Amino acid sequence: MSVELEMPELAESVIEGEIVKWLVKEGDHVALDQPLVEVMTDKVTVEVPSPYEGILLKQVAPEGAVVPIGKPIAIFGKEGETLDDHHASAPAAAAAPASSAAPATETASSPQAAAKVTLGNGQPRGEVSEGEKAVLGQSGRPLAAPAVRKLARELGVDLLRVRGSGEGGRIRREDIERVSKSGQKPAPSRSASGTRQTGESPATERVPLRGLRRVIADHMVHSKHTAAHTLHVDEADLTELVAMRTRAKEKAAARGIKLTYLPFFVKAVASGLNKYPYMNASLDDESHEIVLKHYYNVGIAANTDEGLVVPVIHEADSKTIFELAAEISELADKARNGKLSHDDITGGTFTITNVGSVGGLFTFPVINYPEVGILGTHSILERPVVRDHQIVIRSMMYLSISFDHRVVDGALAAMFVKDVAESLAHPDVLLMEGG
Amino acid sequence: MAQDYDAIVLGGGPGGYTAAIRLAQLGKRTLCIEKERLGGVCLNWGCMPTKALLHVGEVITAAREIKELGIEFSEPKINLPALNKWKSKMVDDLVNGIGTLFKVNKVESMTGTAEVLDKNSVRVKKADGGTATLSAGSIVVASGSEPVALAAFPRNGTTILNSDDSVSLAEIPKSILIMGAGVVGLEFATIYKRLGADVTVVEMLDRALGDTDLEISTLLLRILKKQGINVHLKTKAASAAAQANKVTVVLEGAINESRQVDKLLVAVGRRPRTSNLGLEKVGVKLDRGFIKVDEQRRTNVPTIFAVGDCAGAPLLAHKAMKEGVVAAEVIAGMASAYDPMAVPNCVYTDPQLATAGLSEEQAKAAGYDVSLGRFRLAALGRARTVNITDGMVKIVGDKKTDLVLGIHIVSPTAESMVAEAVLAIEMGATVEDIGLTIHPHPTFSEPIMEAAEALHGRAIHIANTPAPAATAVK
Repeated sequence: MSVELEMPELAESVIEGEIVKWLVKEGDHVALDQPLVEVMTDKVTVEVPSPYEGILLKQVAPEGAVVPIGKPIAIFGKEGETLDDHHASAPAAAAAPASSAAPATETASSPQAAAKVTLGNGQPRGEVSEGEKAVLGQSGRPLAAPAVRKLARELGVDLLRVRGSGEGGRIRREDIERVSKSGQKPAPSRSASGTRQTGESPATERVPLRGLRRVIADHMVHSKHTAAHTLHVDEADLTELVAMRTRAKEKAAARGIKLTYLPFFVKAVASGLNKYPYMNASLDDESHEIVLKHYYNVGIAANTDEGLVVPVIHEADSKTIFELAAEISELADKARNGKLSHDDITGGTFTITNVGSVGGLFTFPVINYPEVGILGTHSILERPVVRDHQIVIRSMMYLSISFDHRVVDGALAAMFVKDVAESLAHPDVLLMEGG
Repeated sequence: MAQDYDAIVLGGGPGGYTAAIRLAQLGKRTLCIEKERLGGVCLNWGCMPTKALLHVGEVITAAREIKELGIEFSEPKINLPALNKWKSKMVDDLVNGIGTLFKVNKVESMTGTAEVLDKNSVRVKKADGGTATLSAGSIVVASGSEPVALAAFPRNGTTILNSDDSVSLAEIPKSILIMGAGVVGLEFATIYKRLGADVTVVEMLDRALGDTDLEISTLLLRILKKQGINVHLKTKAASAAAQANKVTVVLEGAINESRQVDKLLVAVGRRPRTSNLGLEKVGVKLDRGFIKVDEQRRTNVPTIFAVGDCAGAPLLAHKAMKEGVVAAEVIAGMASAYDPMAVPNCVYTDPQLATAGLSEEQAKAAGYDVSLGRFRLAALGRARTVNITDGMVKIVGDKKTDLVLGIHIVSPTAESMVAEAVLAIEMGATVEDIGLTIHPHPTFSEPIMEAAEALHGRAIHIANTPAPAATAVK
């Protein structure tokens, strides 16, 4: 008797997960608790251990598919067991990673999905359509002669999603032509590397939008389409802070703490948020209410090989500089090694993106929606500035803020940044505000 | 800047020359770089020369055996220099034929050793001296494979040989010991036996020919043994000591003894030639030495393709040629893919063995409720006319759908019969389709039809019994 494995509940409030990588091949034996599949939620990748011992008969959800919690992702069986009844249904599911991952609007634009809606089978979006499916022949592949397979490739028809009209379900040329005309979305073949091959020049490479990259893409577009992004730029005189950090650096190192400027930025931001509560808020689009948050969880955008992640320092306002420094190091390590937990990246109320290490003047960051603001911190450079009618050399840094103009107006955002700049210019005062 | 070529093919064996010709047919400016001779292992050291030797041996054997049928020849004499001269000319003609095909198709060729420099360029050390750096839109790696060498059995070309040495046939040994009962081992066993040598084959595993249907490979071994080829399974050559004209081999396993033979042939497999090609430098991914490719034979570097032995099993020329066509067409922007349902495999023993599709064991392991049909050559009129009684066709079907899963043949002309099996599997034929198809009489093709009918309990020329549960014929 084969059993289905459903997408497990990966964390609270998570509704779906993306299959990033199967760690066990179809047909392979799986031990209990052996890592089975990597699933990504929000921006965290989780290794799902196998709840069964036996043979992984079928990866129902292919890599790249986004599967709602509770929907099947794999079929297990005992040694020597086969897919039997699952045999016919599983491939149809496997064949549709593209449509299962597409947002609702896009799915509805395909004729098959439209037909599904009129049939009113009430399937939630993201689910694999009932659609057509092929009868499978030797080696579990659709029953189709070589010339029919060639035609299918040329017309971009996925054979697994064609119901053959020939004897015993054989797919004939006519079936391919029918499906092609009815507009089945092309099912491009993918290479070993996951890049897609097209008729394009070989100088072009197509990399599938998968995993973290897709999450970032969705998230950024959603933010840009929703929040009324507005930019304001100020500058801060960090001469005193530079001196203070230089003095404290060795003492911190003695405690095993790498003291960067970032904990000071976090501290200054937490202080500013406290004074300007509308910067530490979100807009509830449905209830038309602004949600003011009386806790200060500051996210820090971190670059990793996989892409951008934003670990969050919870209750940043109540932590000392050294505590913040230690926590930032720890989160950065976790981010680099892909070990961030769901809690590590959720619950933020405001975000800092520090592009100082790269250089440049200043950035216009995208708001980490549904937060209201994101502060860009930049290179600290010695610049000539005028103080008391004198040109002097000071350590200066630009501060840029992207804010959601639906929630806050320009004056408030400008005052908030000015406050952060002031705090950084006078770190002694900042620290007197307490931890 | 314009590239020197649309495509550069590294290697002029079956995979490489096929890719080059197809590329040129599709209007691509193509260069094929070969380090030795066009035609690769197949034409020069593999398929072709071995089949020529097998043919010679077949005639000699037939001349001897026809005595039973009332025809007597005097003992055939082998004029080895003349034989080798003919064989060399035959090979040269074939190699020149590739050269001619290159000319008419306007494929440029170059002799030298090539190395991939980056995703679009190749450096060639030319055989006639000098180097050249050439660029191309696409690169097809068809570098092939070579016999696995074992340190404990150092090849010296006189007493300890690999398959390359064996085809050159400097002399016909009185005795030869062959390590490995794979395709190469059993074919050379047949060649040397037919040429009059005392032949022993040792195989470490408990079966011959890898994962070939066990009943079929076991039947072949039984026939070979009847011909006087000694085959010892579960036996390994532990060590070898080469003397002037002899080699002493210590055997362990099913038999434990030391044997002195004229030659030791190490035929324990082949390995891909994928080092020193610059592949690591450009980041082309390998899997156990084989180049990883997708269905379109494209590597993880989009401009670089790989075909043939270097791109993975099975190491067969016809698989390489198909891949060459696919890679060329993909480079030309066509929607081609390497997607065979079955790759035939032929073993040129006497009788031949050929298979396509799943073995009985593989079909069962894949979860099929298997049905079996067998037809033995003893019941075939055509076989009787050439005094043959050993051999069989076995069909593995899916009981549920009646689809043909595999066809396995031990028979004269199995090499040609198997094409029907491949077509049946590719077309998704049922066993009944084959049974209902008229096969010409009297021919060696009839057993395929008869085995199909036997599977359904209605073969004409044998007493039908319900197909017995699969047990290997010992």
